[in-house]
Amino acid sequence: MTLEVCVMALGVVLMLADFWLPADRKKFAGYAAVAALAGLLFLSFGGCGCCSLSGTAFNGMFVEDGLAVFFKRFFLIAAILVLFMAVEFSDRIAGGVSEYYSLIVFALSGMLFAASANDFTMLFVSIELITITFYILTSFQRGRLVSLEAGVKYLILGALSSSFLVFGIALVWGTTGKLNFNELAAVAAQFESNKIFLIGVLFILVGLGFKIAAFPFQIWAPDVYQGAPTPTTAFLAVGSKAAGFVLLLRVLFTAVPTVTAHWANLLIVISGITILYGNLCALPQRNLKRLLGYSSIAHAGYLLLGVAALSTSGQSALLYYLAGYLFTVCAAFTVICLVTRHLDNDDLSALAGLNRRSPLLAATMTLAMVSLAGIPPLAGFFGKFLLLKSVLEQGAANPGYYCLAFTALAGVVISFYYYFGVIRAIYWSKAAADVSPISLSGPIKVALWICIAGMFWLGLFPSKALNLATEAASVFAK
Amino acid sequence: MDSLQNLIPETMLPDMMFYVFAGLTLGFGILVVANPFSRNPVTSAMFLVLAVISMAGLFVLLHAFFLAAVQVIVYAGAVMVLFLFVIMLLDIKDEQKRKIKKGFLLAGLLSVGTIAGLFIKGLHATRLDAHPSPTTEGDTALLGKLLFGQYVLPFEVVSVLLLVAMVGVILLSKKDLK
Amino acid sequence: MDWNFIIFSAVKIAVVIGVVQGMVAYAVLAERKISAWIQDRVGPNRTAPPFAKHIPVLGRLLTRLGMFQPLADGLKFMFKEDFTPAGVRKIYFFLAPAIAVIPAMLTVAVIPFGSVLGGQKMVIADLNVGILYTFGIVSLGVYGIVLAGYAANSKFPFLGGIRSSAQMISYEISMGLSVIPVLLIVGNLNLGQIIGWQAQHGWLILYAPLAFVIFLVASFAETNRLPFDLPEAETELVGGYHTEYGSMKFALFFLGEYSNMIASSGMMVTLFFGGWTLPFWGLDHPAATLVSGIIHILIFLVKMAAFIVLFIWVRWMFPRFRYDQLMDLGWRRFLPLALVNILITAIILWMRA
Repeated sequence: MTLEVCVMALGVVLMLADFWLPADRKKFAGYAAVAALAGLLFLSFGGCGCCSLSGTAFNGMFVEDGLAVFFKRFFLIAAILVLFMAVEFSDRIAGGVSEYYSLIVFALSGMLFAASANDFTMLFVSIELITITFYILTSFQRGRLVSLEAGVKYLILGALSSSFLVFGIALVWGTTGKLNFNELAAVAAQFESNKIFLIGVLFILVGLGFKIAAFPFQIWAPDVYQGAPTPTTAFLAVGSKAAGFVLLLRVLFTAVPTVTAHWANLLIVISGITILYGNLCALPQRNLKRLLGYSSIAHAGYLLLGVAALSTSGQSALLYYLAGYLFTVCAAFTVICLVTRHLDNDDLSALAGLNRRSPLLAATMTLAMVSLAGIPPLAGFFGKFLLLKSVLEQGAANPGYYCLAFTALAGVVISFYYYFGVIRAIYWSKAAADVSPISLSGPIKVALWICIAGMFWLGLFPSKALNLATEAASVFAK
Repeated sequence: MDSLQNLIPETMLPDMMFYVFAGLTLGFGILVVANPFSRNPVTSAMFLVLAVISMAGLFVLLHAFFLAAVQVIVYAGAVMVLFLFVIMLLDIKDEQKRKIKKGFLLAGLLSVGTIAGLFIKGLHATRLDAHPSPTTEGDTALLGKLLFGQYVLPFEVVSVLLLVAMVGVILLSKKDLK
Repeated sequence: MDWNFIIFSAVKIAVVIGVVQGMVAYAVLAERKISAWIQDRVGPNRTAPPFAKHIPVLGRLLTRLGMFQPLADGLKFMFKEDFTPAGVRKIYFFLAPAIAVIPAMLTVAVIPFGSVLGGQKMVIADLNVGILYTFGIVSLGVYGIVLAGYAANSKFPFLGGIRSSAQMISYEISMGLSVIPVLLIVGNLNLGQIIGWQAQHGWLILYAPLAFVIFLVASFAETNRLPFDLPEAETELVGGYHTEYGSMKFALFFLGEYSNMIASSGMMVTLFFGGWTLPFWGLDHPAATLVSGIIHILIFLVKMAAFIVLFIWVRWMFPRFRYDQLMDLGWRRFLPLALVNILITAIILWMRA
């Protein structure tokens, strides 16, 4: 709880600091936020009261277990990397730079609450806090039409999904009279045949499906990813999606495990279609952010493999994969953010000649694409391997899992094409319009190196991270 | 003297009122989006006001007086007035001319039909508790205790949410940002 | 379904509406007379029915006081041609006056205008959330004006409507927040109970003077009275939202405005000035006899009349605010003030508890 309060206080302080900071020193606020969050992250590992596993609080609404702590660290790292990016991006924001930082921090606080949510009211308010902050973050470049368009699209579809979510919660509460996940789990078995209850759970899944951009609720993702300011897109791809996943895990495996057990086929189908849809639609894309938008849909599908497996190994693989995804996506978006500084669009051609303009950026982007595609020795490979393994383990019980594994493999193969399209654009494109070297500030270099280190560390020495993930996923093994 | 009492048993009145208010809410709701007589956005907004007020009636039937009052004050009295404000200032003429595309209509009907079908099927299959006991009557003191006791954490998170929303509105609508 | 309840409620409703209408009529007269006195004029003093001069002294006196003027005004409104300008949005044009009057009338329902009379509580609806009900209904009043502005389909009425919607919403917030200290002190939303508390502990104006000031000013804005009558500001907007209206429709807006004034006077009396009670002569207990019941009602009416006179007096003493000043006052003065007031009241109550 201390962590959340600190983060919220940081958000307020950032906003107040805007009063006294001279216009040319606004960057300082961003770095201060990074430092503060890094401090909190450090404390969370130090375990001095910040992230101790102290059970539940507020009548069981707020839970501080291994999963919560795992995700809190995850969100903190994501926010730090995004803030680095936001500082680089600040010259492209017309006004309210400090507010941009502080809104990122507020979105982070929502994610932290989501990580600890153990009650449908908490689930709803934390998801709303995240989503509403993202409406603003998405339309932040209000001078650009695409940014506003993205904001409006996200707002309308997000509101629709929220209405499904709250309707589902109302139905679940109406039939069972329980909002707390643990209490619900205790009585869920007797409502298994209650159709209204099942519709309620289904609606909740619809709401969460929107957040993670799973098929058939993925329609917003490409437009919003393309239009939003790049740091927002990165945070959306990592933070918002992960928040959706932690809530999904909690609902499926803590609140209604008995129902989930019957819904393996549904999850398999959704996961498979999401993978195929994302990968196939990404093929013709020429816009970098849009391409990553579709790729993020595909990755939501991969992550859903871990959910569909309905096993602890699947859940821990999901967590591990998310960790790798964090560093990879942040790396990719940081590069996009830096490369397109003086450009209007985020076309693939912007990358032309990047290896000569800035070898570090070219290398980072290449590594990110390789990791996303799932090639050893980077994080993406091992994550995909674990996910597939967990799915295949279940194959004996349900042959659908074999189909799913095959679909996922097919998706990976398709994805090679467009990921290598990005790499080709960097190294082998003909005419580079702009060959001026890109100068990198010190802090952003740090961010890039963190991402690279993260990708390699997770890929080469998976045991430590996997232990953390398994430990976190053990909350569901009872 | 007793004729009315015999005609309508005490317990049936709330049930009847429920159907009246629910019907009104639905009817007004349909008129908001698909009014066959007028495509004027102001008319739609006014029907939304009526829908909101009928919904307040439903809250009253549940003895949630506080919620009913807040529903009217906040939604009918403030939010919808601002909606009207915006609609009037924009003076949306295009909306009245806009043709409804067949494909969209079909998709909309299909999705609504699916959800409705799901519900009807579910309701047929489920026996709901006929008279569930209300957990909280509409007493404001009790509601306050719940909000600041059991539900204090979500309540406070919502306050952060409102702060964020306020910041966002100012950022997105302020004339010139420094 | 209790027949007694239905009959008594119906009677109470009929009487209250009748009295409010009568009060509106005579409030208009009072407005004209007081304005005349303030401006050193005489005011209406001629209108009289033919039989009036046959009544010895009283007839002349009533004529001089203009007591027949409201009757003449009412008749004039009724028999005027009901003209509908071309180009108005018909449905809303007819709807708006009705919407302006109905909320004003509904507000009165929860105000306890007396203690007990013949075993009946002198309040139409003894709601547990009386204050909230009032605010709910008051907040609907804005639609009458907004729609009137919209229906006219012309520039000035529209500006008037837009102004009023912004103004009323803004001041509703201060108004609502200003009452919260009262609720904190009393611990109840029922207006009857609030009066009961005041009978025991003294009037709430002594406990929450700041709340009263904010409430008073906000109710001036809510009723669109000068110095906040921006929606109709005739020098800028011709006649504001009701420019295009005439005859009875115009009269309904008039009726709405004055009913609102009466209702908010009633609210102020109830919330801050002890309602039907007086702290001496044992008038602070619910009446046991018919006579004391009537006296209670009279006390309430007199207190209310005092506020109506205040409304009128202010109108003729102060110039109109500029629109930005009005908004500034609402949002940047009264809103923080009301919030601080809540905070201080809460802290004091907490310290004493």
